[in-house]
Amino acid sequence: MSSHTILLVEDNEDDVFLMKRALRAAGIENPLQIAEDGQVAIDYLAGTGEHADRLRSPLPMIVFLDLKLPYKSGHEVLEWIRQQPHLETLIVIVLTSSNETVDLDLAYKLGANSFVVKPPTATLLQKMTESFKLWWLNHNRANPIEPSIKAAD
Amino acid sequence: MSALDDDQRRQIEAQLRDATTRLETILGTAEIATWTWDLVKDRVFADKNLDRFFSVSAGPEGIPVKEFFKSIHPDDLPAMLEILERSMASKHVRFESDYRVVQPDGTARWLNARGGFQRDQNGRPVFMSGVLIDITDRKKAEAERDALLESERAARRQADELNARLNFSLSSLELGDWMWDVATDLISISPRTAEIYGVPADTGMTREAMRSVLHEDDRDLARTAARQAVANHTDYAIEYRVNHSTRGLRWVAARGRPVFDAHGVITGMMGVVQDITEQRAQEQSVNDLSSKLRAQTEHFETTLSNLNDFVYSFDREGRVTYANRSLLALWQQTPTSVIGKSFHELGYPDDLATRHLSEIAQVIATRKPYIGETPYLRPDGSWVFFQYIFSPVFDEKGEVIAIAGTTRDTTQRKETEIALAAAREELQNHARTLEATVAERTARLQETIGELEAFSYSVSHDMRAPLRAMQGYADALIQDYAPQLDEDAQRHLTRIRKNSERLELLVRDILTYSRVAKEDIKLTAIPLQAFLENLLPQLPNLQPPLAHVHYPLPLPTLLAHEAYLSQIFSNLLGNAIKFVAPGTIPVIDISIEDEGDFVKIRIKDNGLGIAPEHFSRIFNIFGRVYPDKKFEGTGIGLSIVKKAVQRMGGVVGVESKLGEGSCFWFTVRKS
Repeated sequence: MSSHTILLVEDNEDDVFLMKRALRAAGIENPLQIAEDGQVAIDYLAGTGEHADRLRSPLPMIVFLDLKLPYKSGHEVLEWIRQQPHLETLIVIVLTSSNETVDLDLAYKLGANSFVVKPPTATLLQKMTESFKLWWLNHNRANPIEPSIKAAD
Repeated sequence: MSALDDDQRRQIEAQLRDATTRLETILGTAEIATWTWDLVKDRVFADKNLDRFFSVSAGPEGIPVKEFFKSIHPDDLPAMLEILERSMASKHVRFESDYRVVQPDGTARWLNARGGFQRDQNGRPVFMSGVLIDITDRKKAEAERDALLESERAARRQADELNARLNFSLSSLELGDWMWDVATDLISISPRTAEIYGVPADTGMTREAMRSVLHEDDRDLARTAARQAVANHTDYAIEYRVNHSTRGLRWVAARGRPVFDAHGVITGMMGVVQDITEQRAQEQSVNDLSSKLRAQTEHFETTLSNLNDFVYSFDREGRVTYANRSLLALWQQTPTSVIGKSFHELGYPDDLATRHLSEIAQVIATRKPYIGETPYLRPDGSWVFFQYIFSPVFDEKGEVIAIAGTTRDTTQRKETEIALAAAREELQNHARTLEATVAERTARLQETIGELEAFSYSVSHDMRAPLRAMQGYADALIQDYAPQLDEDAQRHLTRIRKNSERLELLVRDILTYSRVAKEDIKLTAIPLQAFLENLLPQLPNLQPPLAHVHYPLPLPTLLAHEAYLSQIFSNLLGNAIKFVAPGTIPVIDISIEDEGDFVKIRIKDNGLGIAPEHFSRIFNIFGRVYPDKKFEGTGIGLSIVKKAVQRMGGVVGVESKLGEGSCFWFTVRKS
């Protein structure tokens, strides 16, 4: 059974608040998990430490990835994700305040599925989540991500 | 025979003896000798005279002929022998020869020998007999006569020659001559004299008549001169004027000499005259010329002497022919001591002398002036700088016959030049330092600008997150807590949101500006028509009937950065529709002007227009002309346009009048 979980990698709690609110406003009911920095995001996706329990921390179907993050940058997280055999088809949407060409370029090269600049206002953010819902949750077909069976498990 | 008696025979014999004696006497007195030569026996039988002439003694037996030949003068013998042989061979040739016989005392006796032959029946000569006559005296007389004749001829030749020379001299000098005879008081004149005086040649004239043709002021002079010559027994030489009958007034030079007889009594006068009118005229003009020349020379000399410059001339070998006073003062010489001197002789150092000589040779070869400059050590030990010009002097055939020169002391100018060069160099050093400083400061400024741009970018970027949050929370409050909030609270929240929206716009524009300022860009070919057809529909406020945009076709293809071009058009078109009077429907005309490598794109609107004093300000960041309240905006749009145009290599500008719309233009490269 495929996951419905959305992982939001975002260190700014205001943005977390606004995103949560916007997703809700768009009527998106999927469970939302938050990783506050790059390292936590990797731990979550690797299923290590406190995220070892996949029932409590299930693998996401989509990741919203900020780029400017403590410990590990969004680009590093992305690079790590694409190096993991079971994560190489995971949908990663870069959601950043950066409008830099170099950031965009690198993100796509590292395997981002989409690159979105954070909408400047709440209204526009809500429009974005509505579009997201329509596109990624309704129209798009994702390649299901199965939890890896680890020898240790 | 026997009939002849003895007396008769004796008488005849006596007469014969007598005759023979008489003949011998006569012959002896007459210095005539006789001989007979027996050619068969080669024996000559001679009389006493012959023996004497030849200093021999033939005797009754006779002696060989060669004994006689011995005494004949060697110069005469061959001629005599030749005649002898010829006469021997031919009956028709008489033997006659004059020759000298050398006497024992060394003197010569001239003899005239004549003879005839007796021949046998075969015609061969067997006997020769003849006479010898002493002609020494005759020869001597003949020689004297010849000498006399010769000297007479020589004298005549000499006289003729003298005469010819005199005539030649007279004619070549065009001299006339005259002779006055006291007895008749008549003057005989040569044709030339007649010509000179303008009187007939053949009529004898008296002295006074002759004198009457003289100019009246000169007659006394002539008379006095003649009288003095007579009184002093001397010649006179005067010049006077003649009233010539056809040629007018002529100048004549006259020389005269009184002639006296043996007793010192005057018998006449003779003299020569010469027309010297032209000579005098020439002399006069020569005098005039030379006095003019003198005056001019003095004038030049005065002028040249007062010059500080040196004026001089050389011959073709570089020897001084003239030097003015200034130059003489430098050389410490006098005018006469320098003439003909060479540079070496004037004490010039070798290198300078050699250089001047080669420069003179160059002037002669090129026929063009030479301009040179040299340092010169004055006799007082100070160094000066001279600038000089050597010019060729040509004769009438165009040959360079001399070199004329002027030299100027350029020490002061040279010092000024050196000072000037030093100042210039110092200035250049300053300029270089300044340039380096400017370059350094520019680099630092660039760095600072770069840092500032990076700073403003990152500040702007970082401002966005809190801004978004503020806005988001305000929205959340309005949406989620509306029922609990009163009207004031809701209005305040709305103000928060509006202000944060405005701040967001500002941040966005500053970010855009920063990005345009710092990004590296690549220019690509962009067809303007397709570009506009794509861009315009994305700008909803530009669609009719809200606004009208016109542009001509076809449009050029540009070499530009597409994002910048979009930014430029969006901003300019946005301004065009924003700043209009209420109720006016914006009409925008886009036009193109070709400017070679660039095109100028003009965007003309029918808006409010801008006063010229604001033209420079509007392109600055935050350079707003209209107040916020009336027209929303950040004041950065035109700065972005300007930066974008500049980054693509173009320029931007505006033409406008308040109330008459604006026309913004920018240039962009053609593809």
